[in-house]
Amino acid sequence: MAVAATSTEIRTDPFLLEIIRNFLITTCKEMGIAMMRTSYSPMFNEALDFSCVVFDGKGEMVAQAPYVPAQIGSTVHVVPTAIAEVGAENLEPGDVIFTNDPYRSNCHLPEFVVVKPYFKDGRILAYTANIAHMTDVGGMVPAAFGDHQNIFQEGIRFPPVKIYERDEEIESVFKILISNVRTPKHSYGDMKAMIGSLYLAERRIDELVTRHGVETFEQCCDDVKLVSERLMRAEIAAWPDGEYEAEGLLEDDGVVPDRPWKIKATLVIRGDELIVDFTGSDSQCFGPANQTFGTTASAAYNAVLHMVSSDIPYNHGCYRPISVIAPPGSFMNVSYPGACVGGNSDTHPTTVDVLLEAFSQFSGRSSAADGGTCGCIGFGGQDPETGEPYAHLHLEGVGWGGRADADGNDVQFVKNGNCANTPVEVAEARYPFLNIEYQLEPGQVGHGKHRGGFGSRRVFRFLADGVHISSHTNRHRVKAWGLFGGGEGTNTILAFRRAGETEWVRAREAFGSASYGKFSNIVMNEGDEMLFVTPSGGGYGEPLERDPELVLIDWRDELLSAEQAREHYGVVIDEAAGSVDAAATEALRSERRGGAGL
Amino acid sequence: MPVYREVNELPHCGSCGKLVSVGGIRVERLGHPLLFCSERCIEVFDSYKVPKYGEAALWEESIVR
Repeated sequence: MAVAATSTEIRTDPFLLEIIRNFLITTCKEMGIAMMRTSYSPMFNEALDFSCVVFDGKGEMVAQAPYVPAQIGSTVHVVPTAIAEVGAENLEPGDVIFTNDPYRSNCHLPEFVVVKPYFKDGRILAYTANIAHMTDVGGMVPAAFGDHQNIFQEGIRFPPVKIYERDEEIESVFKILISNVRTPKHSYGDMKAMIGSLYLAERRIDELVTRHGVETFEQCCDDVKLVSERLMRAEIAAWPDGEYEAEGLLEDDGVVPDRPWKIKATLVIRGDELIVDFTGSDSQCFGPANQTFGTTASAAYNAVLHMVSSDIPYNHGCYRPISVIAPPGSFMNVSYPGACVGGNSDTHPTTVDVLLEAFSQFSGRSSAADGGTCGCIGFGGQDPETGEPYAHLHLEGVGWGGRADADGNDVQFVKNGNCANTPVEVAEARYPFLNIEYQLEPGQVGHGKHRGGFGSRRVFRFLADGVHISSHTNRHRVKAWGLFGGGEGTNTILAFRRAGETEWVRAREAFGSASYGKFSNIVMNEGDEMLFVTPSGGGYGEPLERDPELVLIDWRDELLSAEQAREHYGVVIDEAAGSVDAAATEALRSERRGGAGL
Repeated sequence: MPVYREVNELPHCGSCGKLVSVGGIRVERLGHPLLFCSERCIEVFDSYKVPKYGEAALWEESIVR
């Protein structure tokens, strides 16, 4: 899929164009702030797992704010699909469209998409849209992530339908929705927050159009896309024509033990156009690790945007030179009724890393692989105080891969998201657990000239009986890979122990799940504990080329020992002096390289 | 069912693989009526997929029934 061009000449005064472009981006940011302040769930007001976008009257994105890349990329496809299915001719002022259908280019069921047309003088000039991760969507586990085998186990699915008509809620749609989720009050409140953000954006766009006129607004929408398209084409044209392949593995699907699933990607560069071809990837899996078309297209855009200047305005024009090929029924484009909730959380970042590996064959902007999981762990049960069901989705940062000019980031949400972790205080105030440990996991990292980022270590202690735990996490077996001689990252550890026990036991051994990281409805009781260590990123470049002073800093920060510094980096640290022994380091590195020594 | 066609009854674009729930462009390729979501996808099919994959460029899911 590539998106079509509409004009060839930029007509708007460049200063006005920049003013209007930034006004629209600010509008998207303001939508997000409204979401944050009015929503009910920590997923929105703490983790910020939502995205706000503006489309023009042609159904093409003209502005976005820097929220969640995976969601934003899919809106390029799911928003026009939703509009087309309902029919622009059937829309009236005050209408809102809603869908969460993953087969219609959405990412997965929990991504709720709402779209509102903005009318001026009787015709649609723009659409405001919000895509946000609803914590619970019904289905067989609280908070959506587990080892589902089909879409029906994942939750309730809505094809594009109107949820508002002429500014009035369509009560029947809301009734169907909130009677199928565990947290009806929160889900209703969160939906209202999403829709409220659309109204806010509509008011701002109306202010803009009233000030500058319909004609100027429409011309600006065309021109801002054209600017982005030209900049993107110039970037692609600078890359060497050819085909560049890479492959990677998603370690399992949660259903078939120890069976990895292949992602194969070919970058085809032809002048100023790029084809991202996933032909040769495995068939769709039996569990929920499949990607939808929207997720795969979004992963392709995500990787490309990592490789180009961040000065390019992100809108429809960016995507025009990029075509994606994702065979239906494959791991990259799940067919009905295949499950797919984890494709957006774990397969997406792995797909981006596969593409970055392909890019590394000709570009210095690439990076080693990251922790490859959103760390999605769902908690659910009945609130011991109120008796009401609750659902909470825990997200966790991972180590990112080292890159040409810097180490990987520590404990940062993977590339498909841009989410924050929910503060310990907020989670503990709402849900029956404590965090009794939370720290960087030292010593364990992909070594390199620029090392991978560190993961984290967290221990939960449960305060009530009957807490259901479900998980879709990755890198328990397949580690983040390094680039150009950098080392592999480290594995995820997710383990449990009953109250009074001292040994940690993983889900497969303790509960007979098919996977270490993908399972449903393990029951924890008061005093039981759960250990979650997130993976570190791969290293970039030879460890023996790492600046010894950087190794010293890591030693001072207690991220690695003097012994590890010597073993992995050939750096000798004088622990008493707190400094690098330069002569001993040079000698050791020379010996390691097989040189003549001093 | 007259009011709703489930997604497994709907075609996918012959080039990119996206579900085409409404609209699309119908053209004859490799002896079959195929659906595409855009002119650009037809161009990619003709200039890249068919030369590279031959008959394997054809997906059953893209044939208009």
